[in-house]
This record gives sequence, C-alpha cells and structure tokens, in this order.
Amino acid sequence: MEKVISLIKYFSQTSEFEKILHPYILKLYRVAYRLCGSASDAEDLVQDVLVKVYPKRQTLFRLENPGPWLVKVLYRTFIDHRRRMARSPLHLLQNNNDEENNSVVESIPTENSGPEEISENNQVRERLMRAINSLNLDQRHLCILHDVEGYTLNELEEILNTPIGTLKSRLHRARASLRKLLKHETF
Amino acid sequence: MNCTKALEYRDDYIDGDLSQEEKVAVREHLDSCQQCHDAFKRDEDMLQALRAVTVPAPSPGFARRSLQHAQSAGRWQIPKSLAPLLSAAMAACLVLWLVTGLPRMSYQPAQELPTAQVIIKINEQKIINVVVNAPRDLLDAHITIQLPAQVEMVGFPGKSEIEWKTDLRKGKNLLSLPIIAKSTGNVELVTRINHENKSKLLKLAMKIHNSHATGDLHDSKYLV
Repeated sequence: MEKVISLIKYFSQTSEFEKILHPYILKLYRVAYRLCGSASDAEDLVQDVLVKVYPKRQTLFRLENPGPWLVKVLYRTFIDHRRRMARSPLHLLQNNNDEENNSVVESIPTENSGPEEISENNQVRERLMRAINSLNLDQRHLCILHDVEGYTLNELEEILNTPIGTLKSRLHRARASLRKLLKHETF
Repeated sequence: MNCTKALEYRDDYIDGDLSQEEKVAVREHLDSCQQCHDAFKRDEDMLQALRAVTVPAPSPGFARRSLQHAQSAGRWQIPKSLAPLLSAAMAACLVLWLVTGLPRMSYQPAQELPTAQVIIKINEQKIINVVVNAPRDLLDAHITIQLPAQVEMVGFPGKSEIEWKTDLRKGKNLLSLPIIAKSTGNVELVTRINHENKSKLLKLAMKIHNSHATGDLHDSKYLV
C-alpha cells in the first residue's frame, strides 16, 4: 500500500514540476539566446536543461528561489556543449557560408528556412552585440549575466563557480573594453 | 574628490558597492564636474542600451513543448524503490504481448545515398569534405568512418574505423576528412551517421591510381 501511495505521489510530482518551472522557461530561453546567439540553439539548450533537471526535481522543490540554480545548470550545459564540439577528433564545423559550389550530402531531408530579416532599426543593436562579442568569453558571459540579465555577483559566484573578487575585476575590465569600443556610439 | 578618484569609483558606483560616505563624495563631485557627470551618464546609457537589446521570441508553444519533452524523456526513470512495482505491471503487459503477437519493430534500417566518386593518386594527401545538412540540431549523433585497407586517415595510422559522438547543428555541418592513399585500387570509404533510431550511410567511391603525387594537401569535394 505504501508503494502504491508512493507511485501516486511520484506521478503528481510531474505537475508540480511544470508549475514550478513554467515561470522560468522564458527567462532561461533569454539567457540561452544571449549565450548561443541563435533562437534554435537557445531552444535546444533550454530543452537539454529541462531534461537534466527533471530527475533532480526534488532539489528543485526544496529551493526558495530556483532561478539562479537553473541558470547555473544552463550555463554548465552550455559550456559542456562547447567543449564537446571542440573535442571532436575531426574538424566538424557549422558552415553556413556560401557553399553553392560545394557538394552537399543530404543525410536527412532538409527544411527550407528563409533568411533572417535585419531591420535597419537594429543597427545600434548590431553594434552593441558586436562590442559584447568582441570581449573574451569569460568577460562576455559575465557581462551578459550581470549587466544584461541582472544577476548579482553573489549569485554569479555560485553560477560561474568563481570568487566574487575575480568576478568584480573581470567585470570592470569588460566594461572598460566596452567603453572603448562604443566611445563613438550615441545611445 | 578629484576626477581620477571619481572615475576609479565609477563601476562600484554603478553596482551600488560604495559606502554611504563614498557615494556622497562621488555625487558631490559629479554635481561640480560636467566631464565626469557626462562620463557617468554615458555609462548609465550604455548599460540601459545593452539591457534593451531584445531577444527574438521562441517558437510558438515552446514552453509547453519543452516541459512535456523533459517529462517524457524522464518518464521511465523511476525511483529504484518503485521499480519492482512497475516491473511487475510491465511484465504482465509483456506476457500479453507475447500471447497476442509481437509489435512491429521501430528500428529503421540505414538509408543509403547514391555513391559519390573521387580520383586520388597513391601517396597523395587529400581532404575530403563532407557537408551534412541537418534540418534541426541532432545532439549526440554517432559518426563512424570506415576506411578501406588502401586508405589511411591522417593522424590515425593503422586504423580502419574511426568513430566518435558529436552534436550536429541545424544547417550545414562540414566534416573534413584528411586522407592519404597507400595503395592502388577501386575502393569505398563509408561514413555512417546514427542518431536515435535513424541511420544514414554515405559511400564515397575512390579510384586510387599509380601516378606519383607532389604530396600537397588539397581539398576535394564530392557530389552525391
């Protein structure tokens, strides 16, 4: 009887999981987008994170504020993906350049997606993104998570597993670089 | 407070990390120094502009889909203590299956594409570029390269099969295979890509002939 009750409880936890996670999905997606730079990569990253988090939902249920913990899992998953891609023994690249003359092996039937429209109004946005992207990886991620997404240094100490002092000097150097890069920009 | 000191404090000022005394001193300086006032204002504007950079919306239904996917992926990862209870139920279903007939296998045999061809000289190093076009991200794809005896992959001496797992991204993925032909013949290099229960075989026919090569490494593309 005890085990049957446990079974019922197990299945009711899945709706608890949805209830708790749902408010964080778009925030996670936003952070993922800023890290990955592409909407489909961001969606895939968030999905991977949710798959990872589901078996650990007991931990999730115990947290008062699951936000930073979720971002920590997201950030670690993002870094793991990057390392795995870099470790491929053969040089497997994402190659979306003009390859009209290259032969294409259709491993799986392709979908046709139209080109992304870049609005003229996004010029400032483009320059801002270029400036952020020219920072080194550590500075860029810190800038995104702190200055753009608003996580405190205390939260980031946990998320990035880096002491606050280090984060602070890294942040200040990142901002100094951005000031130089954007000195002619009008906001 | 002078300008140098005020500017040293600018990042801590933005982050609210100054003591009350320091904050007051900075504000008094900004009230009297237009240059520093403008610099601080610019910092504020820059950060606001960064925060205002919009992110495109995810695809419709993304949140619901992701949650459902997470739950269906973890559905059979039941706690160990509950496993026997569910196993018994599953065993009963399995018995029923056997009695009424086996379900259709869901495994899909490998789909093969028409063979491409390349001509290569003995001892010639060549880079064969395979462009794999994926309609969506394929995480954890398993790639296997089967080499004929006459061909070696540069950096993998003596190996006839090389395999690894990687993520294929939506769009074109370039797989560069540096090879060198060791002896003549009409041979085949096979690339197999496995993902979940799908498999694709890509065959490259290679004609290796005897003319001496310069040994230059150059690219070759092949058409399937």
